Amino acid sequence: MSMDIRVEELKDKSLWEPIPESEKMGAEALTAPQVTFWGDVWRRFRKNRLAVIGLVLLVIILLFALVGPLVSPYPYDKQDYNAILEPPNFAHPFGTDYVGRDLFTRVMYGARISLAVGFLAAMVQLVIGVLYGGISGFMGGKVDEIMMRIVDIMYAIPILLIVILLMVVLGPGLVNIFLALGFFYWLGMARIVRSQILTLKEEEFVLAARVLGASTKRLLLRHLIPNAMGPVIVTVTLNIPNAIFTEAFLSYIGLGVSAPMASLGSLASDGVEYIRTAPWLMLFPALTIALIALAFNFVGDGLRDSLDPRLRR
Amino acid sequence: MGRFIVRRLALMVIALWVVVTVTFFLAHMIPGGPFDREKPVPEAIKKNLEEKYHLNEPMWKQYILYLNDIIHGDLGPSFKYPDRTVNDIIKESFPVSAQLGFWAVLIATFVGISLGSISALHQGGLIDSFSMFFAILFISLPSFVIAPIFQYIFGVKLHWLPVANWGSWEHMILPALSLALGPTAVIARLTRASMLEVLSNDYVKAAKARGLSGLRVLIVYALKNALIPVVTYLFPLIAAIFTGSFVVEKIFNIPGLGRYYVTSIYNRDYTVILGVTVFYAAFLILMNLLADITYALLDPRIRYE
Repeated sequence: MSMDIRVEELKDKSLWEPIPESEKMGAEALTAPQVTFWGDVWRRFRKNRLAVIGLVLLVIILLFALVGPLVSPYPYDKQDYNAILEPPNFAHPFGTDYVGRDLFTRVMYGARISLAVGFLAAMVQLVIGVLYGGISGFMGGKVDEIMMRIVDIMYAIPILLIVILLMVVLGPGLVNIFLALGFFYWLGMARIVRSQILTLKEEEFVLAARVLGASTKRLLLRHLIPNAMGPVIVTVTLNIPNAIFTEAFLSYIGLGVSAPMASLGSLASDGVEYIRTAPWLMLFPALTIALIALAFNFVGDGLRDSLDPRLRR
Repeated sequence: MGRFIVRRLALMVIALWVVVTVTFFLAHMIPGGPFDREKPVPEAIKKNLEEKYHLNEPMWKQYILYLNDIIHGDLGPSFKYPDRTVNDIIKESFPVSAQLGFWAVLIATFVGISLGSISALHQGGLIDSFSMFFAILFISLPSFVIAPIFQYIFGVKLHWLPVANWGSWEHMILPALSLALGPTAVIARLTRASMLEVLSNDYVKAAKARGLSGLRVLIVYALKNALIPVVTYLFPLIAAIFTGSFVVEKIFNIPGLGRYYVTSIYNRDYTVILGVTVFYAAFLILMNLLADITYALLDPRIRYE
């Protein structure tokens, strides 16, 4: 700016007006709006077609399993000897079984059990697994050493075999399945959370927080656990189908829920005997298991891609 | 490295001991004795039987005897079939399971690695999208769903292959495929992911820049390093295929160990359940150990204290 400003120019009134909003610096909006981490994750998740399909599928399955039985005209154990082994039709969309029970309703109840098992597996991982791994990783030293040896030993034991044995001893039943699964399903998660916490502990932002005098509780709850959440969520989603398969497998070999209650595994197992005459008895429960697993796998894969910043495209 | 293997071995022995102990005490929690039948056995015979199987001894002594038997490889008798021991059953049926498992592992590794490599080379292309979609689909199908569907399509509807039973090579195709499908999908995904990582390395770019053909770069330079995660999956894969065979052998009526195991669960033949569980556990724990060791041997980036 030159210094020789003439007085007449200064008298120009417009110079003393505030500039209109539109001419201010940065008004051309060169900066993007502030996006939170989760907003960013959701944006990337939404772009993944399979992930969105999985999410929609999951909502449909939830409605099918939770609301379906309430509106279905047939109870799951109602036998109808006038409608034995009917192929899928208008009254019975999935057909009927060998005592005339409506398969559509029975599959709904089976899906309920599958989802309950999936929910339980998620809870066990989130509560026991995250706490165990978090404490082990945060404490370090001897405590970590002992806690991880225990996990190592339990990890080396073939879970499925012990679950089968437990079910043989405890007897069939949903509560026993929950107990047997709950006993083991947190192991993998504990390992993942521990390694996350170990890496995060060395990060500079944690050191900074510590230097600023943050308490242990604040460090854990505000800095370490939220930053470890990404892999935790992905692991939970991708492990849910495993738990669902295990329950279906146990029911399939006759160790699951007891008749007349039905799980997708026991329905598929019953259906195998009728595969020549009434294939729908096996196909519909089997397809339902596959769809549930598929939905969780799609969502889990989508979450992994959208939560991992290194994969940002 | 040596210390690492010793530590893993120690872990394996402890895990085995835990399994054996848990099975022993679980067995004693089972309500009713092994000789409680619908028709009561005369008191004298029952006493003789109990003496023969040491059931009249105190618990700790039975436990020591049981441990001693297992260390000597004796898995005990079958209470349902008194003329056979668990060892007889395993000797007879495990080779069948092993044969079936061998083909399933072979199919899974060969098809999985090929599909994964092709997908990685054409990342984002049509082949990639298709095979990854089918991979996730097959991961979502448990073998007890795949097996009956195969049985229905290829056996009942098309009459291409026998519906069930065991004998000729044709009987093996459907069960081997049912077992292999899920692991194939897992291997394809593993190969693709690690191949993509390897392909972005400078030495691969350098090889391409020198004008080597895509196939040569893939086989000579990329595959070797990309296969490390796949090789380490091989032993868990063998374990997975063996547990998968519980149901597949039952569905296809194959006289393997898996079918015996499931049948003994149906029949509540407790001694067979226990014996086979210990056998399977030892087998799977050994697979875990081999997986850890190959991982340590193959990947020099991993160091063990």
